[in-house]
Amino acid sequence: MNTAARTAASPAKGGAPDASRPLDTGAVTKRLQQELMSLMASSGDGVSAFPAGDSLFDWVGTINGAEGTAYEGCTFRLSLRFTSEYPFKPPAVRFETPCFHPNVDTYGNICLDILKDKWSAAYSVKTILQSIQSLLADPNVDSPLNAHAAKLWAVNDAEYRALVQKTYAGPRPA
Amino acid sequence: MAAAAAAWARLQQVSTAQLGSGGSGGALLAEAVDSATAQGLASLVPAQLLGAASAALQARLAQLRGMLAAIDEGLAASVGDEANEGDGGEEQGGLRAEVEASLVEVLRELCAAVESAAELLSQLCERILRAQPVLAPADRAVLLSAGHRFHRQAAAAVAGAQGGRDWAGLLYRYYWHKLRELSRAAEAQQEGGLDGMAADGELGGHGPAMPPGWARPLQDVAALMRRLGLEALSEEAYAAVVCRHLRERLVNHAARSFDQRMLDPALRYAASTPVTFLRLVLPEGRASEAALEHWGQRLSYYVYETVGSLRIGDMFDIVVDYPDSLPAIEDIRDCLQNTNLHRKFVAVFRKALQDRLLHPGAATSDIIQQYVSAIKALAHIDPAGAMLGAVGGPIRAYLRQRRDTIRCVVTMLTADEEDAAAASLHAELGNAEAAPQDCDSDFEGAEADAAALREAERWEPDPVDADPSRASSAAQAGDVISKLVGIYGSKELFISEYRSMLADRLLAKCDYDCDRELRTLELLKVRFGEGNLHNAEVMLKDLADSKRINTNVKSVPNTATPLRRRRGLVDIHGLSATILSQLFWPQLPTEEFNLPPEVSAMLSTYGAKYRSLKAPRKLQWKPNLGSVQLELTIGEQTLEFNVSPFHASVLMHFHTRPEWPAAELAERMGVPPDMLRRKVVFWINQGVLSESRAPGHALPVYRRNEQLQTGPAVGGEQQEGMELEEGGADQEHQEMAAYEPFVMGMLTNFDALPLDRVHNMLKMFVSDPPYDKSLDQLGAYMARLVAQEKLSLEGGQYRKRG
Repeated sequence: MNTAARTAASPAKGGAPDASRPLDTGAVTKRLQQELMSLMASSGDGVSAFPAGDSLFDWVGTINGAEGTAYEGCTFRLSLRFTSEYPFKPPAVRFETPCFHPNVDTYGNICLDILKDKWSAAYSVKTILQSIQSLLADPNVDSPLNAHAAKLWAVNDAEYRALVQKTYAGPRPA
Repeated sequence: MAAAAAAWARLQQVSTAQLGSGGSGGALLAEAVDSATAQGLASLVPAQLLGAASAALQARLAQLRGMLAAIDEGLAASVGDEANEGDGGEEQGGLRAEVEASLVEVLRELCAAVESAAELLSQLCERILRAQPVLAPADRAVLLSAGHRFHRQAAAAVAGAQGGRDWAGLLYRYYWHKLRELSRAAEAQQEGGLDGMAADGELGGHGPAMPPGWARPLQDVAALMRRLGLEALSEEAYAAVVCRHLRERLVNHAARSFDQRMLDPALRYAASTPVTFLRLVLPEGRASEAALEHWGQRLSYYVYETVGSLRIGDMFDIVVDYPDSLPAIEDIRDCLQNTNLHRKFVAVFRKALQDRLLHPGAATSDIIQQYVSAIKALAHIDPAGAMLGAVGGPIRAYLRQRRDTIRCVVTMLTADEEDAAAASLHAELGNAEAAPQDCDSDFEGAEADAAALREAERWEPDPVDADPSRASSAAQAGDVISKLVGIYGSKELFISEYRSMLADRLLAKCDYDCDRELRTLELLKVRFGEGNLHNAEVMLKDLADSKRINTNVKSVPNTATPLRRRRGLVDIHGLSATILSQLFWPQLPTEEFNLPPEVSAMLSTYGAKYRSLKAPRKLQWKPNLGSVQLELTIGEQTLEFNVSPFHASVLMHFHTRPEWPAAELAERMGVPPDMLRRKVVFWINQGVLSESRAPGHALPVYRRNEQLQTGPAVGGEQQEGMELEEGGADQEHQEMAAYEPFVMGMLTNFDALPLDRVHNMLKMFVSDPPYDKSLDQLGAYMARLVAQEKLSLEGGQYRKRG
């Protein structure tokens, strides 16, 4: 009960840095604040995220490659940009770490249905990151952004793995 | 030319011979002078004559040197060294009469020789002047002053013959001896009553009776020295003697007794024997009275200065003895009024404090006690308080460094009667009632004006050389409490410390009796104002209410209406509760542990009855703050303990089982095993429990002793303070631990972050619980995480490990 009372009081605090944004951001920041709390409370699972700097609308996410996949041992950084219409519109999510994957292009853009037409306000930062994590293990080769990866995925597992590692080890963003 | 040369040669020969022999055959010399003058050598004659006379005097002195040395030796033997303060002289007997006589004789002889030679010279020069009326003015001047010049030369020669210092020494010893004889006689006479008063006319009825002829040689010596032109030497000697005499007397008679005035007897003494002595050595006549007057002033100033210096040197001990040492303090006050020793006073007292008090070996309460005494003592010396500012500064600065200062002051203010020293401070609190700190500013009127006027009339300027850096216009030197409270500059600290002390004291009480605390509080309220102590008042009221409520709660029968349907109600006569209004009490330490079921049942029964009386209020128990009176029977022995509920709970578990493995007991108590051990050690040391460690097991097994065991104390029981401190740190870390996921989450998503960035992000994004720590606290906590190898710190950037 106490917790509820405290978080209810928080929007004023959380919203303070975003005074320049439209007034109804109060609800958005409140929601994002809550997501941050629950994310911090349930650390582990190989996904994590935290606001990137001054604002609650830009986050940095982290995904660890699931065990038993080609991405095992890799840690991917992602950026999440929320709009003031969140959670009714999905955030813009992209890989900051180069990722060799059928559904990720060379700029880090991700092709994932829940980030586009299948978005629902019930999704959260955590579910987005978990979806991307499972996408890594289980690509959708029918609508590839990276055709080379899509082809390799089906036929040559060893070379696919080598390319994943090579791309991952490439120049990393600061 | 030949004639002139012959006349000159003759003059040389005759003058040497005649002056050397004591100047008896003036006729021959006069003739030689005449002939030399006739030859036109008038201007050269005085120089020749002076030279001859000096040579003759030197020769005479050389003859006397042996005698002077003997006299010196005789005097030295009887006076003894100054270093061993004349004890040696006592056994050596008095000044031998023949030594004294020969000294007078030698001086007389010297005097005669010098004076006759000077007389002769003057005569001869006059003769030349008469014979040669026409002379250059310079030569006339030389001739006219020949006698005086010889006198001067002779004085220098006499002084030089023995060396000026030796003469000074000789005279010093002689005067010293005479003065001691005089003072002994004076003392003897004082002891023996007044018989023989003024029997000897020599002292003019001013001093003690001395043997006939005693004063004569002294007067002679002084007079002869004057005649020889050595008055300066002589005066230096007797001045030194008189001063030394006074100082020795003061040191011997008054040092180290602070309960008597030293100044007045000293002044009286200075006006008696030393003045009598000076009357003898000073020239007689009207000038003597003026000189004596002057000497009287000099002596009294000397007394002020000496007494002042002596007392100032003992100031530390004087303050220790306060208020028994009040006479000594008054001495200092009078001395400071008449001298300019203020600077010395401040320097010496500060040094003494620094050396003897302000070091780690001194207990804080002692320092405070001494500070209080110093405040009171200095109020006598300097009511304006400027010197206190100068002297007390270092004490205040030092006390500010000590962590337990406030606690000590509060303890002393609120102490029980048994501690005499502290009780005085408590009494001070009562005394000071008349001088509340913050006067009502709106209290204006004729009375206030009159008070202000009285105040203005009493105003005195600050001692000039006390401490220029401090304005003392508002100083209330005597107000000890405000000085103590002012150590930290504000009363808020003091009041909050008082609150936490009061909390400790009240919680430790089992009988709700807080009359003394109430009285202290009333006194503090007068001083600090009611508003500041409102919380404390509520705390005391809580106690009073608790007493009443406790009685009411206990008088509710278990079968009362609202309770009838409740099960598990037990007898609660052994239980008393202190009911606190948490808002008004300082933060109380919490310590979570499970009470034994019997006790829990009592608490819940009590709580239910309270609820039935006071609904909708409920009790929230703080079991770690209580105390338990235990009576233990072990074997044949019965022991009584007053322990914390935790200790008692531990022991209660041994009712049912004689033996508990540490892990199991810890689980039952709901605390970690190491904390359990900290408490169990108390019982082990009391011989009630024993500890054994099975091989291969990390944790020990605790066993109930059937007989009381007294063995060596087991280590591990930490000092209470340490435990508290650690508890404080733990508590802080526990609070910080709420932020650990955020810190880790942050560092998961950022490779590396500096401390201030972490701090800022926590401030910005963490709202549950709101982040309110300082950068330092966060730094300490991060360091802990680094120590736990959860994080690493490189170049000011924290990284997540692993």
